[in-house]
Amino acid sequence: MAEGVTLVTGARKGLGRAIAEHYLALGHFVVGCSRDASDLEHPSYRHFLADVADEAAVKPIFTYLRKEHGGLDHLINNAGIASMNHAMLTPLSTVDAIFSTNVKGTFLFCREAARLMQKKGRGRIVNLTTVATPLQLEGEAIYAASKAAVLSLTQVLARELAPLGITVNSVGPTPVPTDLIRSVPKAKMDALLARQAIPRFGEPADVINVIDFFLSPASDFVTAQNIYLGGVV
Amino acid sequence: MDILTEILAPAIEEARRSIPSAAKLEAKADCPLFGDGGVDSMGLVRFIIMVEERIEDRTQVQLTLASDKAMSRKSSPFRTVGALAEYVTECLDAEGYDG
Repeated sequence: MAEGVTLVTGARKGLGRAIAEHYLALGHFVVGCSRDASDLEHPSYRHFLADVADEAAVKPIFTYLRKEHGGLDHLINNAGIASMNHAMLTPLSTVDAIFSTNVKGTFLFCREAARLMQKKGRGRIVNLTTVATPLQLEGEAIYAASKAAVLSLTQVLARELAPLGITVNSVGPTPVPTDLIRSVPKAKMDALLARQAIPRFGEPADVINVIDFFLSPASDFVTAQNIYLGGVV
Repeated sequence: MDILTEILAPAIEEARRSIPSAAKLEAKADCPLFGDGGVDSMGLVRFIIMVEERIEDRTQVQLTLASDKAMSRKSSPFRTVGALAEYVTECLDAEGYDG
Protein backbone atom coordinates (compact mmCIF):
# COMPACT_ATOMS: atom_id res chain seq x y z
CA MET A 1 0.00 0.00 0.00
CA ALA A 2 1.49 3.31 -1.07
CA GLU A 3 1.44 5.99 1.55
CA GLY A 4 0.14 9.39 0.66
CA VAL A 5 -2.52 11.92 1.44
CA THR A 6 -5.95 10.44 1.95
CA LEU A 7 -9.19 12.38 2.33
CA VAL A 8 -12.09 10.68 4.12
CA THR A 9 -15.52 12.29 4.28
CA GLY A 10 -17.80 11.57 7.20
CA ALA A 11 -14.72 10.72 9.25
CA ARG A 12 -15.99 11.59 12.71
CA LYS A 13 -17.64 8.26 13.55
CA GLY A 14 -18.67 4.84 12.32
CA LEU A 15 -17.18 3.51 9.12
CA GLY A 16 -15.48 6.81 8.22
CA ARG A 17 -13.67 6.89 11.54
CA ALA A 18 -12.49 3.30 11.06
CA ILE A 19 -11.25 4.15 7.56
CA ALA A 20 -9.39 7.23 8.83
CA GLU A 21 -7.74 5.25 11.64
CA HIS A 22 -6.79 2.44 9.25
CA TYR A 23 -4.94 4.73 6.85
CA LEU A 24 -3.30 6.63 9.69
CA ALA A 25 -1.97 3.29 10.93
CA LEU A 26 -0.59 2.63 7.44
CA GLY A 27 1.32 5.91 7.51
CA HIS A 28 -0.93 8.08 5.36
CA PHE A 29 -1.57 11.72 6.14
CA VAL A 30 -5.34 11.69 6.60
CA VAL A 31 -7.66 14.64 6.17
CA GLY A 32 -11.16 14.08 7.48
CA CYS A 33 -14.33 16.11 7.46
CA SER A 34 -17.72 16.00 9.06
CA ARG A 35 -20.41 18.40 10.19
CA ASP A 36 -19.34 18.09 13.82
CA ALA A 37 -15.96 18.22 15.51
CA SER A 38 -13.83 15.08 15.76
CA ASP A 39 -11.94 13.86 18.82
CA LEU A 40 -9.47 11.94 16.66
CA GLU A 41 -6.03 13.21 17.58
CA HIS A 42 -2.99 12.14 15.59
CA PRO A 43 0.01 14.07 14.30
CA SER A 44 -0.89 13.02 10.76
CA TYR A 45 -4.58 13.89 11.01
CA ARG A 46 -6.35 17.12 10.17
CA HIS A 47 -10.09 17.55 10.58
CA PHE A 48 -12.34 20.06 8.81
CA LEU A 49 -15.86 20.98 9.78
CA ALA A 50 -17.97 20.88 6.64
CA ASP A 51 -21.27 19.72 5.30
CA VAL A 52 -20.13 17.76 2.23
CA ALA A 53 -22.74 19.41 0.02
CA ASP A 54 -21.79 22.96 1.05
CA GLU A 55 -19.42 24.16 -1.64
CA ALA A 56 -18.26 27.19 0.34
CA ALA A 57 -17.32 24.97 3.30
CA VAL A 58 -15.73 22.27 1.17
CA LYS A 59 -13.52 24.44 -1.05
CA PRO A 60 -11.12 25.38 1.80
CA ILE A 61 -10.35 21.68 2.35
CA PHE A 62 -9.00 21.45 -1.18
CA THR A 63 -7.20 24.79 -0.98
CA TYR A 64 -5.50 23.41 2.15
CA LEU A 65 -4.58 20.14 0.37
CA ARG A 66 -3.17 22.03 -2.60
CA LYS A 67 -1.15 24.49 -0.56
CA GLU A 68 -0.01 22.33 2.36
CA HIS A 69 0.33 18.91 0.73
CA GLY A 70 0.75 19.73 -2.96
CA GLY A 71 -2.27 17.65 -3.87
CA LEU A 72 -4.22 14.56 -2.94
CA ASP A 73 -3.62 10.86 -3.57
CA HIS A 74 -6.80 9.15 -2.36
CA LEU A 75 -10.39 10.20 -1.78
CA ILE A 76 -12.82 8.00 0.16
CA ASN A 77 -16.30 9.43 -0.28
CA ASN A 78 -17.78 7.83 2.81
CA ALA A 79 -20.21 10.50 4.05
CA GLY A 80 -23.77 9.40 3.59
CA ILE A 81 -27.18 9.57 5.19
CA ALA A 82 -30.19 7.27 5.04
CA SER A 83 -33.79 7.47 6.08
CA MET A 84 -36.17 4.56 6.32
CA ASN A 85 -39.75 5.40 5.55
CA HIS A 86 -42.55 4.31 3.29
CA ALA A 87 -42.45 6.27 0.03
CA MET A 88 -45.99 7.56 0.64
CA LEU A 89 -44.89 9.08 3.93
CA THR A 90 -41.50 10.46 2.87
CA PRO A 91 -41.33 14.26 2.96
CA LEU A 92 -39.55 16.07 0.14
CA SER A 93 -37.23 17.66 2.68
CA THR A 94 -35.87 14.14 3.35
CA VAL A 95 -35.38 13.59 -0.37
CA ASP A 96 -33.49 16.87 -0.62
CA ALA A 97 -31.29 16.05 2.38
CA ILE A 98 -30.41 12.54 1.21
CA PHE A 99 -29.66 13.55 -2.38
CA SER A 100 -27.75 16.58 -1.19
CA THR A 101 -25.36 14.61 1.03
CA ASN A 102 -25.13 11.39 -0.97
CA VAL A 103 -25.13 12.64 -4.55
CA LYS A 104 -24.21 16.32 -4.51
CA GLY A 105 -21.61 15.80 -1.79
CA THR A 106 -20.04 12.85 -3.57
CA PHE A 107 -19.91 14.74 -6.84
CA LEU A 108 -18.45 17.86 -5.26
CA PHE A 109 -15.62 15.91 -3.62
CA CYS A 110 -14.94 13.90 -6.79
CA ARG A 111 -14.76 17.12 -8.80
CA GLU A 112 -12.42 18.92 -6.45
CA ALA A 113 -10.26 15.83 -5.86
CA ALA A 114 -9.88 15.21 -9.58
CA ARG A 115 -8.74 18.81 -10.09
CA LEU A 116 -5.88 18.16 -7.68
CA MET A 117 -5.10 14.60 -8.77
CA GLN A 118 -4.84 15.41 -12.49
CA LYS A 119 -1.74 17.48 -11.83
CA LYS A 120 0.16 14.42 -10.65
CA GLY A 121 -1.36 12.23 -13.34
CA ARG A 122 -2.60 9.74 -10.77
CA GLY A 123 -5.21 9.37 -8.07
CA ARG A 124 -7.71 7.01 -6.51
CA ILE A 125 -11.34 7.79 -5.76
CA VAL A 126 -13.56 5.32 -3.91
CA ASN A 127 -17.26 6.00 -3.50
CA LEU A 128 -19.72 4.24 -1.23
CA THR A 129 -22.77 2.54 -2.70
CA THR A 130 -25.09 0.12 -0.89
CA VAL A 131 -26.69 -3.29 -1.25
CA ALA A 132 -30.03 -1.49 -0.74
CA THR A 133 -29.91 -0.61 -4.45
CA PRO A 134 -29.64 -4.13 -5.98
CA LEU A 135 -31.86 -5.59 -3.22
CA GLN A 136 -34.49 -2.95 -4.03
CA LEU A 137 -35.25 -2.55 -0.35
CA GLU A 138 -38.75 -1.45 0.54
CA GLY A 139 -38.66 1.61 2.77
CA GLU A 140 -35.32 2.73 1.35
CA ALA A 141 -36.51 4.14 -1.98
CA ILE A 142 -34.73 7.47 -1.73
CA TYR A 143 -31.57 6.11 -0.13
CA ALA A 144 -31.32 3.31 -2.71
CA ALA A 145 -32.01 5.75 -5.55
CA SER A 146 -29.39 8.19 -4.28
CA LYS A 147 -26.79 5.43 -4.17
CA ALA A 148 -27.81 4.26 -7.65
CA ALA A 149 -26.90 7.80 -8.70
CA VAL A 150 -23.54 7.42 -6.93
CA LEU A 151 -22.91 4.20 -8.87
CA SER A 152 -23.71 5.95 -12.14
CA LEU A 153 -21.47 8.87 -11.18
CA THR A 154 -18.68 6.43 -10.39
CA GLN A 155 -18.91 4.77 -13.78
CA VAL A 156 -19.10 7.97 -15.82
CA LEU A 157 -16.36 9.72 -13.85
CA ALA A 158 -14.15 6.66 -14.27
CA ARG A 159 -14.28 7.20 -18.03
CA GLU A 160 -13.84 10.98 -17.83
CA LEU A 161 -10.88 10.72 -15.47
CA ALA A 162 -9.13 7.66 -16.89
CA PRO A 163 -7.00 9.73 -19.32
CA LEU A 164 -5.70 11.63 -16.30
CA GLY A 165 -4.52 8.50 -14.45
CA ILE A 166 -7.34 8.66 -11.90
CA THR A 167 -9.37 5.55 -11.07
CA VAL A 168 -12.91 5.76 -9.71
CA ASN A 169 -14.50 2.71 -8.08
CA SER A 170 -17.09 2.00 -5.45
CA VAL A 171 -17.84 -0.45 -2.69
CA GLY A 172 -21.35 -1.37 -1.60
CA PRO A 173 -21.48 -2.50 2.01
CA THR A 174 -24.14 -4.67 3.54
CA PRO A 175 -25.54 -3.20 6.74
CA VAL A 176 -22.68 -2.39 9.11
CA PRO A 177 -23.70 -1.78 12.74
CA THR A 178 -23.32 2.03 12.73
CA ASP A 179 -25.62 4.99 13.35
CA LEU A 180 -26.84 4.74 9.76
CA ILE A 181 -28.98 1.68 10.53
CA ARG A 182 -29.64 2.30 14.23
CA SER A 183 -33.32 3.04 13.70
CA VAL A 184 -34.08 0.05 11.46
CA PRO A 185 -36.26 -2.57 13.23
CA LYS A 186 -34.52 -5.89 14.03
CA ALA A 187 -37.01 -8.03 12.06
CA LYS A 188 -36.44 -5.86 9.02
CA MET A 189 -32.69 -6.16 9.41
CA ASP A 190 -32.82 -9.96 9.83
CA ALA A 191 -34.90 -10.27 6.66
CA LEU A 192 -32.39 -8.11 4.83
CA LEU A 193 -29.41 -10.16 5.98
CA ALA A 194 -31.19 -13.33 4.87
CA ARG A 195 -31.10 -12.06 1.28
CA GLN A 196 -27.30 -11.95 1.27
CA ALA A 197 -25.31 -15.01 0.15
CA ILE A 198 -23.38 -14.63 3.41
CA PRO A 199 -26.03 -13.59 5.93
CA ARG A 200 -24.18 -11.56 8.51
CA PHE A 201 -23.61 -7.91 9.32
CA GLY A 202 -20.63 -6.34 7.64
CA GLU A 203 -17.72 -5.00 9.61
CA PRO A 204 -15.67 -1.91 8.82
CA ALA A 205 -12.77 -4.27 8.04
CA ASP A 206 -14.82 -5.85 5.21
CA VAL A 207 -15.24 -2.46 3.57
CA ILE A 208 -11.67 -1.38 4.23
CA ASN A 209 -10.37 -4.54 2.58
CA VAL A 210 -12.06 -3.56 -0.69
CA ILE A 211 -10.87 0.05 -0.39
CA ASP A 212 -7.31 -1.21 0.14
CA PHE A 213 -7.61 -3.14 -3.12
CA PHE A 214 -8.86 -0.09 -5.05
CA LEU A 215 -6.13 2.13 -3.56
CA SER A 216 -3.33 -0.29 -4.32
CA PRO A 217 -0.83 1.00 -6.92
CA ALA A 218 -1.23 -2.41 -8.58
CA SER A 219 -4.92 -1.59 -9.21
CA ASP A 220 -4.20 1.03 -11.86
CA PHE A 221 -6.10 -1.07 -14.45
CA VAL A 222 -9.18 -1.30 -12.20
CA THR A 223 -11.72 1.47 -12.67
CA ALA A 224 -15.52 1.93 -12.97
CA GLN A 225 -15.98 -1.16 -10.79
CA ASN A 226 -18.41 -1.65 -7.95
CA ILE A 227 -18.06 -4.44 -5.41
CA TYR A 228 -21.05 -5.43 -3.30
CA LEU A 229 -20.22 -7.25 -0.10
CA GLY A 230 -21.94 -10.28 1.36
CA GLY A 231 -22.60 -11.93 -1.97
CA VAL A 232 -25.23 -9.48 -3.14
CA VAL A 233 -25.40 -9.00 -6.92
CA MET B 1 -4.60 44.00 -12.48
CA ASP B 2 -3.59 43.04 -16.01
CA ILE B 3 -5.11 39.57 -16.39
CA LEU B 4 -3.11 38.69 -19.50
CA THR B 5 0.31 39.31 -17.98
CA GLU B 6 -0.35 38.54 -14.32
CA ILE B 7 -2.68 35.51 -14.49
CA LEU B 8 -2.71 34.03 -17.99
CA ALA B 9 1.00 34.38 -18.83
CA PRO B 10 2.22 32.29 -15.85
CA ALA B 11 -0.64 29.82 -16.37
CA ILE B 12 0.42 29.45 -20.02
CA GLU B 13 4.00 28.87 -18.94
CA GLU B 14 2.83 26.09 -16.61
CA ALA B 15 0.54 24.66 -19.31
CA ARG B 16 3.35 24.52 -21.86
CA ARG B 17 5.32 22.36 -19.43
CA SER B 18 2.55 19.97 -18.44
CA ILE B 19 -0.17 19.86 -21.14
CA PRO B 20 0.94 18.17 -24.37
CA SER B 21 -1.42 20.10 -26.65
CA ALA B 22 -0.39 23.46 -25.11
CA ALA B 23 3.12 23.48 -26.56
CA LYS B 24 2.32 26.34 -28.97
CA LEU B 25 0.32 28.45 -26.52
CA GLU B 26 1.62 32.01 -26.08
CA ALA B 27 0.65 34.89 -23.81
CA LYS B 28 -0.57 36.98 -26.73
CA ALA B 29 -4.12 38.25 -27.08
CA ASP B 30 -4.61 36.85 -30.58
CA CYS B 31 -3.15 33.42 -29.80
CA PRO B 32 -5.76 30.69 -30.37
CA LEU B 33 -6.64 28.99 -27.10
CA PHE B 34 -9.09 26.23 -28.01
CA GLY B 35 -9.67 24.54 -31.34
CA ASP B 36 -7.59 25.13 -34.47
CA GLY B 37 -4.07 26.00 -33.36
CA GLY B 38 -5.02 25.80 -29.68
CA VAL B 39 -5.27 23.10 -27.04
CA ASP B 40 -7.52 20.03 -27.24
CA SER B 41 -10.60 19.63 -25.04
CA MET B 42 -8.82 17.91 -22.12
CA GLY B 43 -6.05 20.50 -22.42
CA LEU B 44 -8.63 23.28 -22.12
CA VAL B 45 -10.17 21.68 -19.02
CA ARG B 46 -6.74 21.45 -17.37
CA PHE B 47 -5.79 24.98 -18.43
CA ILE B 48 -9.02 26.44 -16.99
CA ILE B 49 -8.25 24.74 -13.66
CA MET B 50 -4.78 26.34 -13.66
CA VAL B 51 -6.26 29.77 -14.38
CA GLU B 52 -8.96 29.43 -11.71
CA GLU B 53 -6.34 28.44 -9.11
CA ARG B 54 -4.13 31.41 -9.99
CA ILE B 55 -7.10 33.76 -9.77
CA GLU B 56 -7.99 32.34 -6.34
CA ASP B 57 -4.40 32.64 -5.07
CA ARG B 58 -4.09 36.19 -6.33
CA THR B 59 -7.54 37.60 -5.50
CA GLN B 60 -9.13 35.14 -3.01
CA VAL B 61 -12.05 35.02 -5.48
CA GLN B 62 -13.20 31.54 -6.55
CA LEU B 63 -14.44 31.81 -10.12
CA THR B 64 -16.13 29.13 -12.18
CA LEU B 65 -15.03 30.06 -15.67
CA ALA B 66 -16.71 27.22 -17.56
CA SER B 67 -20.17 28.28 -16.42
CA ASP B 68 -23.42 27.95 -18.35
CA LYS B 69 -23.08 31.67 -19.02
CA ALA B 70 -19.70 31.17 -20.69
CA MET B 71 -20.80 28.12 -22.65
CA SER B 72 -23.95 29.73 -24.04
CA ARG B 73 -22.23 32.79 -25.50
CA LYS B 74 -22.31 33.26 -29.26
CA SER B 75 -18.61 34.04 -29.17
CA SER B 76 -16.71 31.63 -26.92
CA PRO B 77 -14.52 33.22 -24.25
CA PHE B 78 -12.12 30.33 -24.83
CA ARG B 79 -11.40 31.03 -28.51
CA THR B 80 -8.27 33.13 -27.90
CA VAL B 81 -6.06 34.07 -24.98
CA GLY B 82 -7.27 37.67 -25.29
CA ALA B 83 -10.94 36.63 -25.21
CA LEU B 84 -10.29 34.68 -22.02
CA ALA B 85 -8.50 37.65 -20.45
CA GLU B 86 -11.52 39.85 -21.18
CA TYR B 87 -13.88 37.23 -19.79
CA VAL B 88 -11.89 36.82 -16.57
CA THR B 89 -11.91 40.60 -16.08
CA GLU B 90 -15.67 40.63 -16.60
CA CYS B 91 -16.21 37.79 -14.10
CA LEU B 92 -14.01 39.47 -11.48
CA ASP B 93 -15.90 42.74 -11.97
CA ALA B 94 -19.17 40.86 -11.48
CA GLU B 95 -17.80 39.49 -8.18
CA GLY B 96 -17.03 43.05 -7.08
CA TYR B 97 -13.26 42.57 -7.20
CA ASP B 98 -11.55 45.93 -7.69
CA GLY B 99 -7.88 45.04 -7.20
